[in-house]
Amino acid sequence: QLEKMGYNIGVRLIDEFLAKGGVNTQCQDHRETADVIAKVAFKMFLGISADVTSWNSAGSQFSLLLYENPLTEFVELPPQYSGLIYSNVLCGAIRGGLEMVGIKVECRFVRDTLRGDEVNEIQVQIVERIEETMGEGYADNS
Amino acid sequence: APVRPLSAVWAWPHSSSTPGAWACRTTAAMIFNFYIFDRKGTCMYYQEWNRPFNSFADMENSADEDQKLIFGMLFSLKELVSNMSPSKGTEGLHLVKTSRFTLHHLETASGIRFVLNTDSNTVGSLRSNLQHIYGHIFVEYVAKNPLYDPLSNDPIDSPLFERHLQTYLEGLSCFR
Repeated sequence: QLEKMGYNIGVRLIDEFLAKGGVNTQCQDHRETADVIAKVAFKMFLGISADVTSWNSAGSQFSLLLYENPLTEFVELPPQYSGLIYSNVLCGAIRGGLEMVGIKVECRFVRDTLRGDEVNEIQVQIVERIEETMGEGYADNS
Repeated sequence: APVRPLSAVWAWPHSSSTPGAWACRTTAAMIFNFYIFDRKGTCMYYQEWNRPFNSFADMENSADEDQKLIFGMLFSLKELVSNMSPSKGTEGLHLVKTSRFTLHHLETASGIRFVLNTDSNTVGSLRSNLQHIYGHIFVEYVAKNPLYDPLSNDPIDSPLFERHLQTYLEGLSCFR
């Protein structure tokens, strides 16, 4: 649910990011995409900077390390919610935003300070580039 | 709609707070119309100021046909432009110009296209103006509008957006 909420935020937030973040051209490769998310986007919307690490050999998966998380500043997870991924909205936002620029990803939290880890780590798996197609109104009727 | 020529070089922009106001300081210049397309080609918004001749006027769905023509052209040109580019990393199409009209174009990384048709007396590209429309009008009044859903094919239905857009475009010094 949180991820879905994040997705809905991401698909809208992307335009604000593109217009105001000073990045309006397509990233040349996935590394650039990762850097832009970590350094520009997180800074712009959350005021924090993230690190990009753990690239896999194919260059299709990386991790974002967040040392602080403004969403959880005053939050403690009570025991009955220990399975809750409180900041999953961030994963959804990343997924939604990237989908609107043509990159399909899967995002999940692998380490979470709310659940006892030292850092927050979001793993981003790049699935594929989404091809642009025209809508149904453009079916060839010549 | 009334014709809005701007006459003479004496018409300096009286408010240089309008970004890009200096881009079109020239003799009579006119704005024809303006489109916003989403990534799938749906025309989200269309506004017309002057259109003395409309080749689609007799057809039914003339607005549709016209929009499909423009989007189809831009979509095809995009592929062409990126293949033709002598160096890597093209920015995309800026304008299409004939002696009768100039079509200014901006496509965002999220696939939203802003298209502005003016006559060909306007000097240079109004892309920076389109960028301003994107960042300060579209983002503020459409993207940030809770009723807007980027995934649907709905046209933009926001009087506030329209009003700001009209004020901005009509306030550009070229079109006074």
